[in-house]
Amino acid sequence: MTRRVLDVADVRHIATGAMFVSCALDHETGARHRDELVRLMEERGTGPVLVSVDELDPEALTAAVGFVNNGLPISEMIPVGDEFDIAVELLQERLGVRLAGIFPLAAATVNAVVPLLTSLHTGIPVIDADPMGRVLPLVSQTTLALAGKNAGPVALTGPTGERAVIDVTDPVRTDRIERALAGEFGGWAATASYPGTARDLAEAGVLGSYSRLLEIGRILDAPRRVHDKYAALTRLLQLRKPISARVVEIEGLSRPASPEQPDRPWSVTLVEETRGRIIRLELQNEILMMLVDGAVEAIIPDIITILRAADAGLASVVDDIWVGNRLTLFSFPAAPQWYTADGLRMAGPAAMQFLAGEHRRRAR
Amino acid sequence: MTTVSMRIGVRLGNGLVVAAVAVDADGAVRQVLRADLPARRSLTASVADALRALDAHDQDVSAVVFDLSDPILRAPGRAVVSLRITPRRLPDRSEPHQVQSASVHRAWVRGGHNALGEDLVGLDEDALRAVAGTIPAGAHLAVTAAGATVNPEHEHRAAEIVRAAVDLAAVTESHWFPVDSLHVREQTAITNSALVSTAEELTSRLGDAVRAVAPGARMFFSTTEGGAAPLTRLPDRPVHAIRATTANELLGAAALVRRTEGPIGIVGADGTHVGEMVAGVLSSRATTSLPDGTVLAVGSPHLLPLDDTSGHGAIDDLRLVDAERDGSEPLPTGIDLAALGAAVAPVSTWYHRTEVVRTAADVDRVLRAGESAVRMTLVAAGASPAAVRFPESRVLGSSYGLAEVVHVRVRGVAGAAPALLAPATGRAM
Repeated sequence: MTRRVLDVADVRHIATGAMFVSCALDHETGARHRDELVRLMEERGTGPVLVSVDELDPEALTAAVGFVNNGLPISEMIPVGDEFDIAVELLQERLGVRLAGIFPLAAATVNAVVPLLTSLHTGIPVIDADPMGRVLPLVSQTTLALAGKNAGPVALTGPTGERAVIDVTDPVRTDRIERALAGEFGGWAATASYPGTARDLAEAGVLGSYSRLLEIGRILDAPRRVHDKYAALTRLLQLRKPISARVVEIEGLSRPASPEQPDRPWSVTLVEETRGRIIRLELQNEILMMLVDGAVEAIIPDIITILRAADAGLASVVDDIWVGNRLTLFSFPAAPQWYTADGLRMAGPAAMQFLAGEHRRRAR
Repeated sequence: MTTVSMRIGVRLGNGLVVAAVAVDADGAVRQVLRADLPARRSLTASVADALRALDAHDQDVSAVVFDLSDPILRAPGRAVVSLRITPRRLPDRSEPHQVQSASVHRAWVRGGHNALGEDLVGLDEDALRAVAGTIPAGAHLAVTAAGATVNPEHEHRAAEIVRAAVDLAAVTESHWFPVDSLHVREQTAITNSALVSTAEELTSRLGDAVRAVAPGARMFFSTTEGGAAPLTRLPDRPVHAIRATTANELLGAAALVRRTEGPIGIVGADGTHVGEMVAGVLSSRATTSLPDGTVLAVGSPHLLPLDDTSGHGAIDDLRLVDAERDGSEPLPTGIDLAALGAAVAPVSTWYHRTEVVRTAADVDRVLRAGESAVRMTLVAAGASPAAVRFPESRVLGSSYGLAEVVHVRVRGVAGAAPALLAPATGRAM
């Protein structure tokens, strides 16, 4: 994708794609940020500028922006709207350099919408790339960290307006400090992190993130038959065969908690509508694993998500996992960096406390 | 245990009875429609006439349950003062929709709690007293504080300070509606506050009617999620009565075809609605979406979309009910499903609580505390302790939240809906 000004339809599609890729959070916060972005675009008569990373000077400075949560959700502790502008400004002040581009900390959920809004506020272009290619629970689980890049310095602010700039380099320490601050701030921190050159991002990032979300959103938002939407998604994402199933059981706190992960594990059991196979979802922040009749159908870093079965509408595990509901389950590969040995160590089953070999992956 | 001799469901519309249905101990059902009643101008007289037409005056009536959706939705708009307590002032553009045609005056002071219930920002009491000085006497107040579902202290204190400064018609605190969305809770508190005066009037009139005809009967109102709550609670929580008709129609349909498990659908004038029966009650969610997009923190039935064109979402075991065509002894065709649903709705309540847990014993403790609270609420509403059951009782984390903070969700019901229609069954409530 070359440099372009996004229009309202584009940002709506991107938001839809972002909510499809991660169904772990309720969609209220993403939708509110999308609506605010649309309102501002209509007020100003223009939209955020999206550029590909190779359009930037290779030495130009870029940074990731995104929410880091720890405590009350964003829907409860609502941002005023200037938080990411402040975080970006603090980072620029700290580094003494203007940013040539910003990108999402994760190209999914509200974090895919935030850079677009920040771009419209600050005039800094948004780069068509990100360091996760999905949402992973920890700030340290990025392809930039995988490539040995520093996560800091990091600039943050939160619901109270309190601010911090932390001189930290190690991504694991960055996650712990950011999350501690997010908790102290009141539940979340608006962060600007992973400052680096455009060359770094081009070499180690997941490229084309927004283009992919845009395509996903175009498919899901189109007035097309459900079958046709699934076929188009399959071509775009290498989807495994979607499974339509009915929720029959929900178990809270179903496994021991992983010490380094926010939140607690839980599990959902579904029965496939047509063949009666038993589907098991294991969750902790994200859907980590899908079992079909006891065999692993998909497991992190695979992306596992859901849509409403009846109309392919967006669904979330917060609002749509209830006994009796019918959902369509999807899984597809994440960015290729996550399937290397180092990538699996960082964001694979072992990193999420699943024991290797505990489950047999289904032959495909 | 109290033996149920007769339960009556009454659907009101435009200030008068639309339909009333009596369910006898032997499962027989009788109905009286508005057209069968004398022309009346008074709600009290209309209800009393309907009860007499069902022979309530000389039978043992255990309960009268009112579907108040229509009078609640027709309630005149009231001026509401919405006091928001957050660490920073949110921009006006993020204000939620207005409902019930209420005019809303908004005020803000600093405050709020974090996920552990600690003061994140101290409540600005000086600013609060200044705001209180601008609130007119007789105002309906809605107070919403960030973090109030974990610690409602700022809402309590704010209401106390305003009350000390000015006589208020009603106060609603948002933590009464525990969802983790400030906007949704605030909108619910505003709507609730706007309805309080109407609810007080309805409670008084309906109480007079029932006491005149069936003085021993317990009185309930239908809740949006498909349950019943004591009428005495209506003046405090009228928002729970909003749009109860859909749930009642689904319950009525389930009773009509004796379905206690699986999807149940109704064909109505405004389209087809499909709900899900689980263990004899309607599966429900924590929120209600209004046609204008407003979301309220009021439980409502999970409704399944039925507009699939591909077959992917076909609901194989759906039982679609048309009240004009379906029916079998002792249930006649042409019955008012909403009134029938009200008659058979179980008394129900929810317990939502955010708790800090560190061990498995903590988890067990908070869950048992939730079930105990629900049992007490239902027993206080007249249920036998032995009749209380828990269709849902869970402890859940929330994505990207604190590991030690969990949500406790317990739903309790007493008296299974369709089972009430099963002949020769001892029933309790």
